[in-house]
Amino acid sequence: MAGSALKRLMAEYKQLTLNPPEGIIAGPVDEENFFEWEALIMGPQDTCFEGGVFPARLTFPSDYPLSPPKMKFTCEIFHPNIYADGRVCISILHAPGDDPMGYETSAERWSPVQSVEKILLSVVSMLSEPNDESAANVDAAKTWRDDRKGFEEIARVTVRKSLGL
Amino acid sequence: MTQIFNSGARKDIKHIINFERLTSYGLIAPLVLYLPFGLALALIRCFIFLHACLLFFLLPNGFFLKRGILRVMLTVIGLPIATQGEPRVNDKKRIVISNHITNLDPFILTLLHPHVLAIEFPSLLHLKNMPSKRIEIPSDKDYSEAIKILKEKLNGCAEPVLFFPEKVKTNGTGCLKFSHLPFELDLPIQPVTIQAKRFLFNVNISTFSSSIFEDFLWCLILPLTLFSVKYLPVTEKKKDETHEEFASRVQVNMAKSLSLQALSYTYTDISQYIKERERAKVKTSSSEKQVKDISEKNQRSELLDASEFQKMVLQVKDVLPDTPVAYIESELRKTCDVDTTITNILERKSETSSETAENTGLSLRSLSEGQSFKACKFGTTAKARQLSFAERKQAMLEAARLKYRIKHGL
Repeated sequence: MAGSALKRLMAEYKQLTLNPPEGIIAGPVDEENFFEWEALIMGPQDTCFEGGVFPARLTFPSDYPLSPPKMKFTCEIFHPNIYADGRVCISILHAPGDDPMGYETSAERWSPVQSVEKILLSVVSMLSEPNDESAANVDAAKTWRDDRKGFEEIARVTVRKSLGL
Repeated sequence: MTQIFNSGARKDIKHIINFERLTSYGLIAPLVLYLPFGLALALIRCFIFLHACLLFFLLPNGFFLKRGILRVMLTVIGLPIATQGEPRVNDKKRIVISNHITNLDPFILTLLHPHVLAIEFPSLLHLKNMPSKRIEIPSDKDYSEAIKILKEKLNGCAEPVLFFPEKVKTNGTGCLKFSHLPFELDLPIQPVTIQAKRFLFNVNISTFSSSIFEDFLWCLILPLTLFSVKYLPVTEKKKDETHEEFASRVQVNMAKSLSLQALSYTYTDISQYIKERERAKVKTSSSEKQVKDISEKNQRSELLDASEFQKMVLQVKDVLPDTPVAYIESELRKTCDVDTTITNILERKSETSSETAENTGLSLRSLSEGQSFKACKFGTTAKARQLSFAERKQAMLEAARLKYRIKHGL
């Protein structure tokens, strides 16, 4: 099945190259290994992450698109739905089977109908609207809920750092 | 963990997991002869088991004969249990770890001494409907967080916690590498080994995918299944030892007491092997299909077997779910091959999909910045594509920096 995974990834790469969503770039780090991608995501407008460019790694399983890829930000980012080590925690990255707690409906989870583009767009909307109900980074969720000013300040520093300024 | 095996290693994995209930065809004839007797026996034993269940709930937990009576009843229904050694009972807070050979293990160990069963997701899902007390360890949480949650829960329960650190059933001929989770809780470890033996009929007690009801039914039908449980001395972590070293020390000890080999495969290796095995099965069936297809093509392809054809359509649909079935069918009729069909559809799609994609993503797209960094063409060589990718990344970063500088007056 690795052959069809490659073909599908190639098609998605082509699509993302010729017609990327605004503020998103993605592609394989090195075409020797098509299962390891790099993505750049611009912080969405009118949010505290505005102006930042956040790099992330996507790792695809060999049975893609049957199983979802994993996504991890390679820069520092303080956000309720991103673990301290950069791993992204959103429902679209979870296969319908592996949610023992059952607080995500299967409709919003991974299925072969989804794509890299949809994942990245979900991440953009996650950046603009953090979900503090299922927090991956408890500190960030707490700051977001109780101390919005402080959260925005940290985000501003993150944005500046991400641009290398 | 992506370990690359040579074919020898794969063979080993094949030998420590049972896939089939019956080991040889020679067993079938005596089994069929035995079956009428076996079924009658199972029926009687079923009633005795109901009584045992009743007793289990009726007798108070402190009653000293309770476990003895239940063990005698289990012997009658064909599940004698032999024990060796005594668990240390004086200190309450400890963790019991055991090797895992059948679905009945937690049931038997809990019967001997009350335990709380710890279930590590996702591998031990088959134990989820065990009628015992249990703690579930969520897999979607961070590792350190899981340990924290577990420690909290441990404080709340009086009984020792039972772990199956191999995380998967083996057939009892090898000891898999342990998961480190139970060893990181800083509690003394009580290793327990469990072995099972069947008399007269050498039918496997449990298979990789069997359920507890299936296993139990076989136990009722067949004459005797002897479980021997051995309690090993309680082990504690040495001061200068890491968690991994501790885990492997306990593993080696348990393997030695079972006179087995301590293996270096983990649960991940096993599940990978299982996946590969399933894939290989699909492949052989599809290659058989291809041979068939070619011969059928010679006598006009409309004779293609309808169900086989549907299967191929489904295979394509799995990879490209948003393609209409009618389109897949027409493409498949032309090529009669799953892979070529996928390639053809993808190539045609990338020309037309640009407009459709724009419609679907529009609402979300307006969230991000008003800039899009698209390439004017998709290069034909890997080098050209990578160059364009690097250029676009640089352009995005530069644009963002410029914007930031203007906004903040730097």
